[in-house]
Amino acid sequence: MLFNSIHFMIFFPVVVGIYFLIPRKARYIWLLVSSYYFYMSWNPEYALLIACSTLVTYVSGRQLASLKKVPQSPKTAVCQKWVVALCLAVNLGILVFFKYSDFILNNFNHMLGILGVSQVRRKFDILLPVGISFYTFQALGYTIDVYRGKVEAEKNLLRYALFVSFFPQLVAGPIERSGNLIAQLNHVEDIRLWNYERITGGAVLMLWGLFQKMVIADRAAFFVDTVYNGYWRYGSIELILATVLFAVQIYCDFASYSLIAVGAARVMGIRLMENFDTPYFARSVKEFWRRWHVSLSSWFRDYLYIPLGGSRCSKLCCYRNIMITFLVSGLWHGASWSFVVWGGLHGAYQVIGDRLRPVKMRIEDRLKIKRDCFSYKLGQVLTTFGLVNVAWVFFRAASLKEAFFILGRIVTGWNPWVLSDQSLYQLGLDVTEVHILAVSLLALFLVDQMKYKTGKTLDLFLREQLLWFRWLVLFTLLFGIIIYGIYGPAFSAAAFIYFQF
Amino acid sequence: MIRKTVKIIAFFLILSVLLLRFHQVFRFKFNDGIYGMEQFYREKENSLDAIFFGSSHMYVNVNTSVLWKEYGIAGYDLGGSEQPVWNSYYYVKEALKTQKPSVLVLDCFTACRTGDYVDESRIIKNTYGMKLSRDKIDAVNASSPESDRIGYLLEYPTYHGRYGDLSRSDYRKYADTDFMRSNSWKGQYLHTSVHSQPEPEPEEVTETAELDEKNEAYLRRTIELAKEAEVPILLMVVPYVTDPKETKFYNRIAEIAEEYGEGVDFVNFNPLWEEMGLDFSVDYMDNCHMNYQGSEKFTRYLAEYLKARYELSDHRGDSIYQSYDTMAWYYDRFVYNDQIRKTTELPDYLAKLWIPDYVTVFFIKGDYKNISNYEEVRDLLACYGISLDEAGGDAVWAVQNGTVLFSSGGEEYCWYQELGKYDVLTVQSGQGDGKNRIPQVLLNDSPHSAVNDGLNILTYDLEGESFVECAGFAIVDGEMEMGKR
Repeated sequence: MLFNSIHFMIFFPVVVGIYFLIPRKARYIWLLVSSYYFYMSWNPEYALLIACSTLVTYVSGRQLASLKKVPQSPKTAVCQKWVVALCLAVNLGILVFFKYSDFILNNFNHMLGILGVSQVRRKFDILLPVGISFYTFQALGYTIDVYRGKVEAEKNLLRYALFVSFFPQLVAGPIERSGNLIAQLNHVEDIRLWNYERITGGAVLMLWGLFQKMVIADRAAFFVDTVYNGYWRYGSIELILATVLFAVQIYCDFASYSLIAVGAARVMGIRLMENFDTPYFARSVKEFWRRWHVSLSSWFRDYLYIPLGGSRCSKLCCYRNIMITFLVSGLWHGASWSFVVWGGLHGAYQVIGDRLRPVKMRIEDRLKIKRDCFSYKLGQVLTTFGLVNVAWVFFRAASLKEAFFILGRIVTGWNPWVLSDQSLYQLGLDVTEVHILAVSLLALFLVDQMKYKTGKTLDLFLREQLLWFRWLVLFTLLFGIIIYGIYGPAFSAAAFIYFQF
Repeated sequence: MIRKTVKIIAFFLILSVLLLRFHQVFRFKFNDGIYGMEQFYREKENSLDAIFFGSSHMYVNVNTSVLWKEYGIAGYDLGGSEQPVWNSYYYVKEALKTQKPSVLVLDCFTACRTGDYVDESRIIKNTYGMKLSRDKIDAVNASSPESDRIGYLLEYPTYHGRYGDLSRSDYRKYADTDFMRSNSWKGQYLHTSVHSQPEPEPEEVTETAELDEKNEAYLRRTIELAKEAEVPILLMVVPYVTDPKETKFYNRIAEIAEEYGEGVDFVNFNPLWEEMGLDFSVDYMDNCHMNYQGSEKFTRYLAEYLKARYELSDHRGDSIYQSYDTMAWYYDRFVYNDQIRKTTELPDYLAKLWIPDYVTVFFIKGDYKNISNYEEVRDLLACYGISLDEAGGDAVWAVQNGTVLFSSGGEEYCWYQELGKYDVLTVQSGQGDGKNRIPQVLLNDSPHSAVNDGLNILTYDLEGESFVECAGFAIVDGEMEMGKR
């Protein structure tokens, strides 16, 4: 069930309506039932996987809790480590099996091919369960937090199951921390349901998310898909435009999912973490990762980068840790070498950036370049955006070979005449569609600019405005979605890109 | 709390109004499927004598105006483009909720088709006119694949993307506009063009071919529905350029009709075209559809058949059938306007325009003062109060009921008149204020001109609220042609 489907438009009000009406004590049970229904609407069988992951991490948590109660000794410490290791092995095993077995097998076969040995063939098909990477990481985060003593192990299995499967953020994040979400779910009975500001604020976030997804992301996708699906036919301009539009598409696609998730949860009185904070206004790749998919990058920071040693070690070790973290992050995004290269590039940007910083500073000082002016900052933003876009080519292209071809063509295939011969309007978006996209992007820019400058999200900004303005914005968004949204029988609801991860 | 409640109520009220307006503007407005059903609901209960269901073979070829004008039969073409049998079934079901006609007539053309679903536009045209009910839901379920049903039921997912296609007519309240969209329409779809078709070869086909499973099931359900309602049903095939393969299917339908016995008839009118007086060289606009002249011939034959076989009384003069009288008036006007278009000689043409309730704009350009037949043209136009002698350069006159409403050469440079509720006629003389402006005749901002050198005549039917045409009589080799371009 996608957030932009009619199914969800019916499902969500029904869930919220009943949630508001039933006895307080039954609320978490109802949310759990709803969450499993939500997940099972994709493939009922995969509910077994999430149940399995829930059970393993729950039991591990309970085991760790009981081990913490006995007097601490080296033996109990080893036992705890074994519990965590076992839990990680089972969960990551499931993840690897469903997500990476094809990748591993293909690479294995490739090596066998080099050695001249006959290839291994799998006798069954594996379908990637929706959101497996998200809930697995969320559940593992809980186990590690219990091990570290940051949270208490949850006693109530059903409440814990709700933490793993809470439907707004189940399939594409934000990857919640146990410390934040479990605590709220434990007090779901105390939530005052009728809170005008909270409900309307949540609804505004959902509306803005749907606008980003249905009006911007899915519209940009027409151009991106047309160019990337026939990349060999196009020159620099089309490929650059398609890549920049892909940057817009993936941002609007993913950020919108998080916004809808945050908004939906807020309507029900649950506060989820913010997942995107105007990433394209970042002035360095490092800052980009503080703003992009915050829940995942902070997960990797807390559970991989810091345990590896973080930055509190030699420069070389620190660079190694950055590269490992980003290569794993790339692999998390998809079982293909293109994603690994994408992650590797982001790691390399940071390592190289760090190495070159003194040189850069020296040159700037010598040339007396002012660093506190708008144009300097704009240059940083544009440079970061450019670097991120180069990496997006690897993310969007179907293979490494294709990505290198596209980058090569961007450099060699200069064709500025397409800017004036109208041929750009033949690439999936006609003049009307381009105008709609341009106006929508302007709206996106204004909202993000406001967030960047003031830290206010759209709902907070609107709350401070007069009624006529609030309603004007809301009706514009609503009818923008209804009229200009990409949906309907001729259009099969476009899945959110991040579902595959 | 009260303030917030009022705010919420006000918000949803405004939202409802905006959604309603959005629906009115964006929804599909098809004459060949949706309007027919929507207008049907406006018919008085149990007022119809014969209802014709099916594809364009019905609503193009069965002329409800002729049925009324010449036989007093209150007929209604309740069809839809390429209407599949399952949609006909639900249309029959819907019709029987408010009507108890003397006969139901079902077109068999699409019963020869195969496949469980038709294309998206036909699904829309054959379901969107129905009011929301259990039957509409069933009709949508029968018409579309499961994954798309919710979209077709809610409708807006299919029409929201029309933002690029919206035109002036989408903003109109259709019931107020022309004949084809009014309550006096009765579902007929009239064509005026002529495209000669090959005459059907006389061929005896006796074999039968099995109908598609879904088609046969719904055909039987339709027959059973009629029997249950105790209304006779006639399954018929309208004359068209038939493929012998299709005749085999029709033979099978004849067998099915026979199974049900009394109250269920089947007639393939194809072999009877000569008896009807149909002329394939002039009565058709394509191989399946007659123009209105052809439909008149066929409908007369059909009406005789219906009158002989079913209990049909003459309702002419009955006050509850006023909308049928209006239809007849509009139909006559429609025919008259077509005759204007088909009149080619200038004297005859001008004579045809000499009736009230038409606004006519005469627009003459080029070196008309020196044409060899200047006097003849001048005298013809003088009947309309136009003085060609007094005109200089390109000249324009707007005339209604023999009165000149506007002429170039006066002080005014520009003149306009609102025509009916929605159209605006603008005439620019190209003179008056000394600026070098181009003389133009515009209808709703679209310039109209048939010839660059010669006489242009734009005609607008005020009562029928329709643009008739802009005819041109060109000046060639120093002489104005008397034949229309």
